[in-house]
Amino acid sequence: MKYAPSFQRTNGFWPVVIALCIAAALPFFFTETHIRHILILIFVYAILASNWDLSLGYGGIVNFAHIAFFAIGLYTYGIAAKIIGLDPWLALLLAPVLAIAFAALLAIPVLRLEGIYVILVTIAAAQLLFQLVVSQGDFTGGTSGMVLIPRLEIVGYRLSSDGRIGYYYLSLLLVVFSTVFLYKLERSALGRAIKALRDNKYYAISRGVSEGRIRLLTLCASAIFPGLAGAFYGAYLRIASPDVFGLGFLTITLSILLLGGISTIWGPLIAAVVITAFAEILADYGASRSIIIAAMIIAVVVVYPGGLYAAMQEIWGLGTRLRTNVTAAWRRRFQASLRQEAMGVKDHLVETRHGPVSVCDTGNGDQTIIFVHGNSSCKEVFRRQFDEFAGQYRLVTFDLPGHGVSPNGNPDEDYAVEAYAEIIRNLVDSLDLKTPIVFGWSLGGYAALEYAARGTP
Amino acid sequence: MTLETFAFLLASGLVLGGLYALMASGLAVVWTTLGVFNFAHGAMIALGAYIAWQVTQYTTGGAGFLLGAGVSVAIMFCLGFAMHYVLVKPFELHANLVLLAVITTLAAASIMENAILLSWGPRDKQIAPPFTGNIEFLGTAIGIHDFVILAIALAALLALALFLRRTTAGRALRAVAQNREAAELMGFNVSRLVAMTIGLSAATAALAGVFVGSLRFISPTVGTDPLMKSLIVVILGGVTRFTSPIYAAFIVGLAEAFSAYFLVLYWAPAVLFAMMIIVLLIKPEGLFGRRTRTL
Repeated sequence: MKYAPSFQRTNGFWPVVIALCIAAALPFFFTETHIRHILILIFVYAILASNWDLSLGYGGIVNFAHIAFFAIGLYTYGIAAKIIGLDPWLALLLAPVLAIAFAALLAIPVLRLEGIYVILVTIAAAQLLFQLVVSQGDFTGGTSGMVLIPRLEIVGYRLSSDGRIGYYYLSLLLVVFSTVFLYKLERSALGRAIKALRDNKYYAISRGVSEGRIRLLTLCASAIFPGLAGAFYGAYLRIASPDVFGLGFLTITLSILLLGGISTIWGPLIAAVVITAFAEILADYGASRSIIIAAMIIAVVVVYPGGLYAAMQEIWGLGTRLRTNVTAAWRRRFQASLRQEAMGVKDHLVETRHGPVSVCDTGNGDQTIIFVHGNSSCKEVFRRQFDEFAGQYRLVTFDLPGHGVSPNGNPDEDYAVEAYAEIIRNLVDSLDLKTPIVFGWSLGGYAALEYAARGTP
Repeated sequence: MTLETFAFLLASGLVLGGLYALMASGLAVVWTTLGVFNFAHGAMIALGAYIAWQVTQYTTGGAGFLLGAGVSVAIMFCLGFAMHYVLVKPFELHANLVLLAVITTLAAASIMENAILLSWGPRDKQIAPPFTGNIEFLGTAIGIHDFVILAIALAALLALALFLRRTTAGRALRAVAQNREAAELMGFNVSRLVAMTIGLSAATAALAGVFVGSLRFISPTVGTDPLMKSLIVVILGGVTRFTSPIYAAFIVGLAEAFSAYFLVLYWAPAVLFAMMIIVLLIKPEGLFGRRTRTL
C-alpha cells in the first residue's frame, strides 16, 4: 500500500488550476509587447528559482553555480544555433543536456565538501566558467556577448510575431512542465531520499540512501529546467551576454527563492510574480529602485525568515480560525434551542485558564459525572447519557477548545492533554463539583487520565 | 626577461599582494568569527574609496590623503558596527544563518553600490595620489606612492595583528572565534564583539578602497573584482591563523603580476579559479591551514 500521509491537508489543486487559467488568458488582456515581456521574465525567474529550491531547499546543497546552468543553456543554444548551425529546436534540447553534464562535473567537488565550502567551490566553478566564456571570444563574443542568435519558428511562423504570443505560451509551458516535474519528484522515492539526506544524513545513509548518488541526481535534476530556460532566453532575446554570471542576476533569483520560502515549490513561483512586478512598478526610479528592493529583501528576511509562502499559509490559518470562531459564536447565539432540545439543558460559557468553554450542567444528585468528548467531536455526543442519568447524578459536559461551540484556543498552548486536564480542574473549582467521576471518550480519555494522574479530587 | 622587467613585476606584484592582504584579512576576520561570508565586502571597499575621495575634494595633498583615509576608516568602522545589528543579529541563532547572511549581505552590497551611484554618479573618479615622483629600484623606476601604499598596508596589518594578539579586546575577539559559547559563559558581550569584528573588517576594507582608488579609477562597481580576489586569497590561504591569508595574498599578487606577463591576459583569472577549486578539493582548510577555526 502506498504511504500517503493524510494530515498534510492541502486546498487541492484548485488554486493552481485557477492560476494556470489566469496565466493562459492573460495575453488576451495584455496585448502590449512590453507587458508580455515582463510576464515572460516572470516565468523565466520562476523556473530558475523553483528549480534552485530543489538543490538548496530540499537537498540542502547551497549551489551558487545554479545560475551557471542557465548560462550554459544560453550559450549552448547560441553557439549551437548560430555558429554550428544546428536547427534551433535541436539546440534548445541540447542545452539541458550540457547543463546536466556540467552539474555532474560540479558534483565531484561538491560531494567532497560541506557547509560554507560548498558555497565557495560553486562560486569558484561559476567564475571559472565565466572566465572561460569571456576568454573564448571567437565562439562566445567575449565580454560583449553574442547577438542575432537564431529565433524559434514553427513551420515558418515566428514565435515572436503577434506580440510575442508564441514565446509567451512556450515559457508558460516550460513553467508548467518544470512545476509538474518538481512536484512529482518531491513526492517520489527519490525526493524523499533527497529530503532524508538533508534532515539526517547519517540516518539516511544507514537506511541505504547512497549519499553520492542522490546528491549527484539532485544537482543534475536541478540543472534540467534552468538549462532549458537559458536556451529559451537566448532564443527569445536573441542575445547572450556574460552579464548572466553577475552578482545582480544571482541576487535577484536568490531573493525570489528566499522571499518565496525554501522547501516549497509554490513559494518561488509566487515570489517571482511579486518581485518582478514590484521591480516593474519602481522602474522609473533608477538606482533607488535597487535600494528599495534590497531594503525590502533585508526587511522580509529579518522579520520573516520563513518567506512569503509561510506568511500566506499563516494568513490562511488566521482566516480559518477567524471563520470558525465566528461560526461558533453564531451557533452559540442562534442555535442554542437546537442544542437545548438534544441535551435537555441550555449551555453557557465558563471561563477557564485556557479561555472560555461551553458547558452543559444539569441533573440532580450528590455525585457528579463529567463527560469529556473525543477528538473532533462535541459535547452533544453524550445526549443519551444525559437522558439516562439525569435523575440520579449531576451531569456536566463541555466542548474542548476549538470543538463544538467553544471558541478557538491558542494553538501553542491550549490543544494539549495537559491543557484539557487543567480545564477540567478549573471547571471542578468554578462549578463546585466536589469529587466528580470523570468519564472520557477517546481523546477525552487521555484528558481524564491526565486529570486523575495529577492527584486532583 | 631583463632585470628591469623582473624588478617591475616584482614591485607591482608586491603592491598587489599588500592590497589583497588588506582586503582578505578583513574578510577572513569576519569569516572566522561568524562563519559567514560577507558579500558586502566589495561594496565596502568601493564606499570607503568614495568617502576618501569626497574628503580629498576639500583638502588636497598628502594631508588630504591621510585625512581622507582616516575619515573613511572611521566612518566605515561605525557602518560595519551597525551592519551587524541589521544584517546578522536578527537571525544569529537561526539554523540557516549562513544562507540568510549571504542574502542580506548581497542585498547590503546592492544598497551600497546604488547609494554610491545616486550620490556620486557613474563617472570614474580618482583619488589624487599625494606622493608623486619615482625612485630607482633594481634599475627600474617605481612610484613612491606604491611604496607608501605597501608600507601603510603592512603597518595596518601589523597593527591589526598586534591588536588581536596583545590587547584584551583583541583576545576577546579571538575567544569568540574559537568558542562562542564558552566566550559567552565567560561574560563577554558576544554581540558587541562580533559587531566590532565587522567594524574592523569594514575599516580594513575602507583602507583598501582608498589605496585602490589612488592606484586605479573608482566606479560604483569597483569592489566586485577585489571581492573575488579576496575570496581566492582566503580559500588559498585558509583562515586558520591571521597570517595565513596574508601569505596567500602575496602569492596571488605576485602570480597575477607575473602571469599577466607570461600568459595571455584573459587566462590568468581562469587559472586562479581553477587553482582555488583544486585547493578546495585537496585541502579545504587552505594551504597554510590546520583543521580548526581560530583567529
